[in-house]
Amino acid sequence: MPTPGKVAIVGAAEMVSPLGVFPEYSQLGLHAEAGIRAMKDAGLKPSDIDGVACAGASPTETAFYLGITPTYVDGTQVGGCSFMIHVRHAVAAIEAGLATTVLITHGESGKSGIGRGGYPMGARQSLNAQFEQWTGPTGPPSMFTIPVLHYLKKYNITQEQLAMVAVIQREYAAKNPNAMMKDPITVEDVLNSRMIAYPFRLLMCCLVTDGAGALILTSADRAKDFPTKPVYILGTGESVETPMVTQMEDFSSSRAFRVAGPTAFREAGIKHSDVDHLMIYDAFAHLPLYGLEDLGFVGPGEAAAFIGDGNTRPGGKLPLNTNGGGLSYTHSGMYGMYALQESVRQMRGTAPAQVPGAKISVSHGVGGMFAASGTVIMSNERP
Amino acid sequence: MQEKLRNPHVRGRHCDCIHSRNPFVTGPDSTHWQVCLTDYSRMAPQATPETQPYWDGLKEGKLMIQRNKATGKAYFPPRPFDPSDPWAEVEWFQASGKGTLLSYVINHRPPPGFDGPTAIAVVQLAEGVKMATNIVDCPQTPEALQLDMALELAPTKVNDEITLPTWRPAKGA
Repeated sequence: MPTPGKVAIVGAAEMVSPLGVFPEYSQLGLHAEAGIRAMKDAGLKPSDIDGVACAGASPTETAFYLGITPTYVDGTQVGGCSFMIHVRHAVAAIEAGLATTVLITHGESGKSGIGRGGYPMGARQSLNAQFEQWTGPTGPPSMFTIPVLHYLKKYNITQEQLAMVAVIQREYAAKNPNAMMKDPITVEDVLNSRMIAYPFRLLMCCLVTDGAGALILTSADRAKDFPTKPVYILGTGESVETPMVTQMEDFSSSRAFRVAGPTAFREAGIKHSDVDHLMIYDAFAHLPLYGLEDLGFVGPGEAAAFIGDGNTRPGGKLPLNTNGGGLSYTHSGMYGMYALQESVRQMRGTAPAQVPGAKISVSHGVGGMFAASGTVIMSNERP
Repeated sequence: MQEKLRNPHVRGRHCDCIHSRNPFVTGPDSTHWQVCLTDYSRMAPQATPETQPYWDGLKEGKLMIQRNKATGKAYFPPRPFDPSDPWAEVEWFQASGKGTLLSYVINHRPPPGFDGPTAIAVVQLAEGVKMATNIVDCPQTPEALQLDMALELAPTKVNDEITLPTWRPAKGA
């Protein structure tokens, strides 16, 4: 098991616009620009980087484009949590000596669609094509949401409670100059917004934007020589479950979450009460509910009441999705990098909605549609 | 059951089905029935060697799935081995065609070929496995689609190779 705090994030950069678009960049260009900004943040040049990890472009493309000669590459691409998993693998690679300095990039022309590769869902002989796609979904809004009616009924949770997730995250977005959606909303606003895929309405669904982000990791022993405050990795986790959301084992809980989350907590050696700040990838309003429960912050079926009672809102005891989340901040398609960036800002003390005195942050991602999961636990104190 | 086997829910047949609100012409192979279901031809899957018996069964209106011969436990989707015990002997068998509605969404922005809001549903089969499906012969509304309601297999023919495992509310349930 990796040792908590042996590896640190020493460079971070994010490209998010309140307009949601970067029409002057291709997808690869976004990877590269975010990578360059992260190198600038860390005071490094491409020749200082010997590990490359990315999703949405191949590590070959990114390394070539940025002039990097890596001894370690990671092209894990399992959806939006790929970047959490890249962090996990980078920690292991740095500890094992495969690389000293790993650059993780994300770039996605999710709105403008410039230089964006297609998703390989079209093949008529794939599992998805044979056993799911013929039923007529229109992308994630009508797929990722399929288990939710079962969940709501099982735990007697109302659509109003589901709507509250979006309402509270908007409170954080209002504090964030880069957030795309800042105006306050009510439960009524959410429930009156356009129906997308019953029971999901527009304001329960994530934004569609362009964006990018990058991280640089190195050993904690070197981290003190960098210009920014190091953010130490305490623990990480990863798992996958199914390429088809309709084949999840349990429609009220994600097996991938239940593996990745506890693995990270075990590695970090922390308790839930130690966590000051939490990010749970929110492509849709139900994800924070599943995340809070599957990570063990609350019991099964308790997350909606936990959120409704104000525990996660600004000033609450467990601030959640403090950038405004995929629902209100930005969502280029693979959102995990933005959750990680917000955790880094909270640990550096530079977040727009800063949690005072926060020392431990958990960043939990989902990939595909409950297909994969990755969790990263960070701290601004070396254990 | 026998009648159902002989008369799968054929695309082109007039019925009180999910997409009868705004009929469209089905194409040269359809004879006189112009009020029709979803046009699945765009999304029609293709079998692989591993799944061919499943699709062959559906052509005859039978839902063929697999189980572990020793334990009798079914699994899905089809593959030549039981994922809980890859060395066990497995066999194909005809599922009962009975199940219940586990969960769904109603997609209000369906892709071409679908006419109007369409439920994407998951049926929990009596045999213990679940599958994605569309619910035919049923209004696509939350009122008509009650969770845990009884469903029965009502296949929809797309072309000579592919008949899809659509389901409908169980008759006399």
